[in-house]
Amino acid sequence: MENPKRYNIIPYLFIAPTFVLIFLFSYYAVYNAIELSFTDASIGFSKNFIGLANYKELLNNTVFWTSFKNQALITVTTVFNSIFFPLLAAELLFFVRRREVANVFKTLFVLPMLVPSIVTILTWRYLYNNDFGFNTLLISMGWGNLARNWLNDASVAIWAIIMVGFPFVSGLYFLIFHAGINSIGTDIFEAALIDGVNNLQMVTKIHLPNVVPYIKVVFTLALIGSLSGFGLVAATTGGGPGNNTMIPSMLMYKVAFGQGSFGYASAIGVVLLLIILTLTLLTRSVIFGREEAN
Amino acid sequence: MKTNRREFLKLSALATAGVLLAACTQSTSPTAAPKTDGDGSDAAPAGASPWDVNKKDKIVLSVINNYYTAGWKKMAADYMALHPETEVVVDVVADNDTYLQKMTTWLTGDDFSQSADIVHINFAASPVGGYQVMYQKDMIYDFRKMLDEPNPYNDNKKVRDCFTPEDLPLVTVAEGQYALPFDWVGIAIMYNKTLLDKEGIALPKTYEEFDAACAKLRKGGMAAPIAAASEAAWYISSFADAALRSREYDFLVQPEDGLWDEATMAANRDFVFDENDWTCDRYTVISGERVCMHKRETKLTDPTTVKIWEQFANIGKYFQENFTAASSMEIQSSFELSKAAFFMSGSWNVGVLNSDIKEMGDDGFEWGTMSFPPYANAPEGFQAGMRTLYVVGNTMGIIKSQGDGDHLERVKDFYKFCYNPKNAQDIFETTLNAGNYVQGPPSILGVKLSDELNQKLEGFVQKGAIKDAFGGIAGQDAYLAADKGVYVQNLNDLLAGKIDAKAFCENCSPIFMAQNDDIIEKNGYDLDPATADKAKE
Repeated sequence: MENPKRYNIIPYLFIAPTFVLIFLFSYYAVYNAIELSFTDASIGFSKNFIGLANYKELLNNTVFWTSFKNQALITVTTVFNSIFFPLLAAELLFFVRRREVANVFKTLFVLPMLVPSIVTILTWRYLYNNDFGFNTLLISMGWGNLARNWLNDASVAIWAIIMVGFPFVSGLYFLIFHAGINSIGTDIFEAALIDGVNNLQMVTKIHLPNVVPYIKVVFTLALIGSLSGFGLVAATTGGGPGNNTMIPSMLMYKVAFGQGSFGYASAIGVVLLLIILTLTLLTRSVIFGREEAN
Repeated sequence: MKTNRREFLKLSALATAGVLLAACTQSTSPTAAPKTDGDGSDAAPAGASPWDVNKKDKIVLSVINNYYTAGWKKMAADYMALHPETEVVVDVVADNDTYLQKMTTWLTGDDFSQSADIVHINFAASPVGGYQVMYQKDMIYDFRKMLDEPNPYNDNKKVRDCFTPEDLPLVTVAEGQYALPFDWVGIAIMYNKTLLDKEGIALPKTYEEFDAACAKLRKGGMAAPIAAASEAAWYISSFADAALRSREYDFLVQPEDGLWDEATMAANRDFVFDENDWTCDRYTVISGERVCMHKRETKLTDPTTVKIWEQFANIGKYFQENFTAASSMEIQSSFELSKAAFFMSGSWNVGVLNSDIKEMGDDGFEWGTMSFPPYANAPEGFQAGMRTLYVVGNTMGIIKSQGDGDHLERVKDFYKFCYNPKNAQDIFETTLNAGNYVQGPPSILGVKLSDELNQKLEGFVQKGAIKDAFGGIAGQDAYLAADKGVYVQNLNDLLAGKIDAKAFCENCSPIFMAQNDDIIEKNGYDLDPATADKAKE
């Protein structure tokens, strides 16, 4: 007679190594950051407890608030672009009747996934160069007056960053929506066709309600990715010109590794973490709350 | 039994042959007996290699990508062919930031045994807290011990014979000589001669002519006559140097100061800047505490500081927008595409620029370099001559990762292998042939670059170098990292003519002071130079 308790513990043993590593490299780091945020920890010096001083300084820091405004703009547009364009591509593909042609398009949409995102960003950086790229194109088309030093002109720099990756058909998000649309049962489509729905009604009445769970996934991934990532800004403008494209994670990086103030940088990190958590939970419950309830 | 005896005899014969071969290797090794006639601290017994040639060992040279990478790799291969018992690994690190992080990881703890043996010592010193701390920890080698040793790769001439006596102290602190000079780096203005000729502009000889040339080019439709990246900020230092060097003594450690050390600061005593000898302040030592006092007192809004920024704004208005964000490569392409007639840059770009323009064939152009031209009519309080950066460039030092002894001897021997006229020449040539850049004119005597390259480097060469502390005294890059955006925004506004120099100084004063307060706090300055200070722990 086997002891049933022994069987119960086995799944936990399998999951334990992963959990230990996640605890060490993720949760302990978060705990450490929270602890550091209440100190004046600085590289090369001993740390002292300073209470909420870092948070007070942060709230009075105008660059921090500017960075949040920039982040909000980047995040809203990124989330929109991450949902709208891949979903549009997936819908268009749905209506391509010939399977061979559809497969070719599917492959073409997914193929760019093989290119590391940093390569895409650096390519765009060159397209934005003052001396060639888009400017050459504009000048050759006789629209030289529209040419700009895109990443160094304060009035357009943030929009130039937002446009990186146009037409925004991310391979991953496209695949999620494609899978979502194709997972809708054929009986529903058949019933709709019998009812005489047109293509637009097919999209709005059949597809969209059924891909909401997928939109929710993409929404969450894009939101977190946009709030926590800083590669795009770091590789294009570094937060400049001035602080015109500064975002909180970039500011945190500069404070930590530029001036070695780990305590203050941790405070920025903690505030950023709280904002990401709150926004994620809020959006899931407010925007998708009704769907979940259903 | 018989078989066993035969096997035993075979093994004995092999062992004897092995010992004999090893002995031969030892006596015929090209490194055998590098005798020492210095203080004897590194002396090896005559007739024997200072390391065990029967023992394999590995030494590591860590370099930043493109800093003579191809040259170092060739040296490593050549050295290993001579000394198969020593493997030389060239660890190429992607960029300056990564290198600095690597140095921080290797050297900031008490155990630095994992460090590479030969490193860019200026990068290593920064995270550790300076050369003084490195010597206190017995972390780095003092090359003074090596200077009088013979270099077996240079006809056994003394190591010091490869350098001028004036250059060696430039890489020395009181505690020791932390490197040997390899080359020079400088800042100068590269110009497109073909373009200037076409526009009927003569090569500017004065600052005023330079200004007029840029104005004419802009009037002719060139949006940014000067291609400038962050290196161009050195010109703030040049203006500051011209404005402040006549009162340099105010910023030096003075005999009544707590920090005074006669042995290392004798040049400071009663110092007066001599305009006829720009090298006169080569060995003077700036007092960080006095600089901080000056900044706190003036808040960097004083008339001299404002005037320095006025001068920079006057020339900086010809730069492209947001110049500090441009990479050297980006503005180099502007210059190569003739979108800019002048290119403010470092000597490290000359090699690549030269080969690029040659490759352009018929689309190429004639170009040259010129130093920052002097004022014909200097503003009140300014000296006419413009000093710029011209300092020892590539400073490779030795980390004593394995302490003294066998390993260190191998590292020193490889260093000597590279630091002699023949092989240093090879490093320069291999680097250039590989399309990498050389940093500037060589400082090892006997190393010759091509006439063509020497001509291109002429504009960089100057007697004496700018005292770079002056830039900081005027506020150049005097901000905490997180405040960079505020500084750059104001700088961009200044160069675009949206604000004047006075407004710039007033807007930036809070961030300048924040950095100053940070320096004061970390160094424990009590703002009384007469008393000793205790740095924050």
